[in-house]
Amino acid sequence: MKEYFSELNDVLNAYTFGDLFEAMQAVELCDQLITEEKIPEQELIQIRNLKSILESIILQGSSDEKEAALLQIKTNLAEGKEEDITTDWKSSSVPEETETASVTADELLMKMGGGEERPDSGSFEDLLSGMSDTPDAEREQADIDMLLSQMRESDKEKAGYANSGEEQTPQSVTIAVDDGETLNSFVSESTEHLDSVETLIINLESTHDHDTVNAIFRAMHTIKGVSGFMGFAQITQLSHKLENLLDALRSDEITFSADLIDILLAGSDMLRAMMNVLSPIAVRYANSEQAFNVEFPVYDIRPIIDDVENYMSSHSSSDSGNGAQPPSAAEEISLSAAPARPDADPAFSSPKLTPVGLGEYAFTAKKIFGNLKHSLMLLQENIGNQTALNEITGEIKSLDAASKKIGVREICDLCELIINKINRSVDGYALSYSDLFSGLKTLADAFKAKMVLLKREAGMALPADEPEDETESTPEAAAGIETADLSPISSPAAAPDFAAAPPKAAAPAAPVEPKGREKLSPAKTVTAGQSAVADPEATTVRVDIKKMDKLFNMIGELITAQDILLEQFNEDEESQEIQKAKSHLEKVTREIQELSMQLRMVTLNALFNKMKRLARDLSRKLGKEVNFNIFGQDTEMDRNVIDEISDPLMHIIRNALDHGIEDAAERKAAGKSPVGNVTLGAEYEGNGIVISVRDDGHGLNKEKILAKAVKNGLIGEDEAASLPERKIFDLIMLPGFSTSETVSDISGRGVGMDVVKRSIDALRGSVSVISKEGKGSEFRIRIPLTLAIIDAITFRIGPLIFATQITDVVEFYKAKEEQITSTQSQGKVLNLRGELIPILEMSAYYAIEHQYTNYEDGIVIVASSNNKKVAIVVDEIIGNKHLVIKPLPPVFAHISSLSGCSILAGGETCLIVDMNRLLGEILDLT
Amino acid sequence: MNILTIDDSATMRMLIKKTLQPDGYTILEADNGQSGLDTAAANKIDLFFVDVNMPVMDGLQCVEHLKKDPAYSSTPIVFLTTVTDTGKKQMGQDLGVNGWIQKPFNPDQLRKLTKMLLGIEK
Repeated sequence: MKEYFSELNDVLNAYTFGDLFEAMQAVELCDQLITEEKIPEQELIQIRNLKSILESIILQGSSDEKEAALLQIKTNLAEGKEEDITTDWKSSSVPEETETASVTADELLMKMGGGEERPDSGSFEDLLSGMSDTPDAEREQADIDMLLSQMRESDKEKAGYANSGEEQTPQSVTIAVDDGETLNSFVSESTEHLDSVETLIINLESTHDHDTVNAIFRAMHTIKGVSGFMGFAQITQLSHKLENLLDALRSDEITFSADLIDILLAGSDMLRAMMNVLSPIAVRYANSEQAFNVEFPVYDIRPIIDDVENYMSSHSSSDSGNGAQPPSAAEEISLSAAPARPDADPAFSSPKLTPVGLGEYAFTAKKIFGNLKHSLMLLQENIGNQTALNEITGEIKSLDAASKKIGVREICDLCELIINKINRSVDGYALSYSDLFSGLKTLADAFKAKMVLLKREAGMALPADEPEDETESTPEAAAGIETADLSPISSPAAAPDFAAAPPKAAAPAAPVEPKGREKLSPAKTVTAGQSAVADPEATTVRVDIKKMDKLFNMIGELITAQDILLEQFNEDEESQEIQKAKSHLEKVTREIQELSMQLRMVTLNALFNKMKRLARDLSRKLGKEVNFNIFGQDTEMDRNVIDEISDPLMHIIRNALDHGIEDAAERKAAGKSPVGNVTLGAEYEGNGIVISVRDDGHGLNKEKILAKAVKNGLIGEDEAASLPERKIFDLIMLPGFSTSETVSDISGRGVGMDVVKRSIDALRGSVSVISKEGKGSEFRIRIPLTLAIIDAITFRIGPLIFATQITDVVEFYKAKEEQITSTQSQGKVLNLRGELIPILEMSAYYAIEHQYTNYEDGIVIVASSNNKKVAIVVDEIIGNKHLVIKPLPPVFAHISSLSGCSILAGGETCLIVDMNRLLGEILDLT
Repeated sequence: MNILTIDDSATMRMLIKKTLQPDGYTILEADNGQSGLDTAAANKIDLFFVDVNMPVMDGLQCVEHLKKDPAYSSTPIVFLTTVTDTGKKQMGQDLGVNGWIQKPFNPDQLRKLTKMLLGIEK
């Protein structure tokens, strides 16, 4: 019975109004107590009342009246219990349990192991019941101050904790996961959040926008919440710290700077690294219903947490003049103003000291110390026991809150100091236990001393002396207690006083309120930043790319199989049913095919954001101020291609920032803005996409490139003299152009450009450079749209079947001999309705025999690409087909201007012509 | 019995669903306050679990709307929130929510609480 009672007390003391679980727990304990036989009638009534109030709080929500009534019953019960301990219960069966209920401060400290025994210290029981030897008030106050300052000193000494490393940290921790689906959901959700967060952080640097801060905050908040659930403590701690930082930022407690962005990026990078570790595990167990263990490596999150704390202390907007705070000064600041001038703070200067209030406080504190003892024992048994540490933190927080309520600042300060200590240790530091124990010891001492003072100040005795009539209140009275009597002790009445305290002294709780209020205002617009997190991403599914590839292949096979099947039917013999079924089948496969193509296409957004991040980091590193602009990020591309161009693109951007953009002084001297500009863009061009990187740096120096090319033996001297400008720039992409020896203003420009070119060539794309000396350069990567399935025109030249994308075809034309003329510059041209179009003899280009003996025998395909038209003479047009592009077998890989091949219904192979490249090459030759 | 969980974290919604669905409730989901209101308008909801921090429309605004809706003015609403939201908890209380549950929650307790709020069990 007493266990239930003390448990009930614990729960009620921990209970914060509105916490449904705690209320429910209390109801259950009430039930258990009610079924007990030995309980005195009077307390039974109180417990029943308590239960009914708790239930009404659960079912209808809490109100000030209910809270007040609850508090009253709690106080009554507490007093009743004191009586009982001395009467019935003490005489009842198990005596040692009484001792558990009354923990002495010294027992507590002795159990801590760190503190030495203090022979003269009294128990809390003594404290609460009258106090025999009351020391001089001033001396006590001095003692408290001394203790506080001692504690801060020792904390300063320990400031070098980061490198102490006396405790061994494990390489990894084992985390039990209940079901794989949840883990998978957590990982993909967090990854999506982190994807958007990175962009948002970068945007934040230029916009300083509150909505963006909110969006990042929410992402961190979600990651924190869910990881807490899953038991990934490091993820929780890190996201929590970042959340704190963002919270301070959005409430304007700290100021913006590039360093802040660095910290946020470092934090989100580390979270991402953690997700990357979890990702394969999550995928593997995604469908597992059974619990399994995850080996999670221990990350060094300490530097980031240090950075956050330092930033928060050194960039506080209220005392921004104090930039030169020492590292890890967060606690110092929060305490610096506290004990030295105890009356400066209005919230603390006149604590609400009523007999009931003080009694309540003493009672709560007693409970807290009891629980602390228990947790410390746990901790002693098992050093590093996280649960015990959490409990200790929780208890001290409760004491902090209770102390705040009645305005005992010294205790608050000590509590916060200890919490900080523990939090730091939780955040990945080796916790110095002797430090913690001595801190708790100081706390207990300070508390005892303070209580003496408080009692005297209040000029009253402690709860034992409470008016008897309160204790004897009838159920009706207890339930119907009006606020008039009790308001001074109920929390809402005390809270406003505390909320008025300056944010420095008040713990994080106080400033939260005004922020929250703002959120209620209905006029809230959804900005880009917000929607980035809210985006449809919530309904996306992550799919293994291999499965996607397989799907495309299967659809390709399906279409080929369908073509072969449908060829078998002879149109004249078909029944109507067959015709209907045929067209239906064709329609469905076409839709599947279109859908599958869309599946594969993703926007360049993610890639561009990655580049934005790269540019940002690089410009910070190089000390160059650069505006990085982006356009066309909504352009869609095949996901596989995007992966392939990422590295080459990164290289080009790095070059642009490192070698293209001059430093500020040089730019000024050249009459340019000191801030450089780099623009990354994407746009459709013909049947391809052009991704361009443009900078306004000093451009390429033609003479130096030529000289170097000649020197490296890439071209001859005479060749160099006649080389057209465009070709000069192409030289830098030749292997062997760039050597370790660097030439000042083009230094490094060629480094790796041959690699870039090779990667792009592998995608059947092309790279070109345009540059104006002094004005800047532009690198253009052109990638053909390599859809897995294309709508194509197939045609035959001699023995070979070719295909070209239908979008490249302008018209078919039966040319007459007199329309074709030979010209000096362009070879043969076709005069088509007054337009002269060069004739392209593919048979000559690919060295194959054609059947047509003169142009009138063949047929002309007028094709266009890149705004250039060409007339291709072929033997026969076969038809319009959907072709599944397959990569060329390696044997044919060297044949230029082909983008792939395909199998036709009849089993023949057809070669797919990349019209853009073909035109480029042929027209260049002529 | 229809329970609507309004939370922008799909994982959190999944966790609630996995906890409560075996007891035979229908769990509806919404990923922000606004879609929560839409879902509530289209269905009869017997109990709400609402996250505080959400995009588009946060939990407080959502509850404010729900409390104004005659169909839901007395339907139990519970905030699922974290420690840092002390001020908001108070605001939720002012709006008349039944109370809050701290994340991470205890599944057994959530089950019990749900029964209690739905009047299935005392």
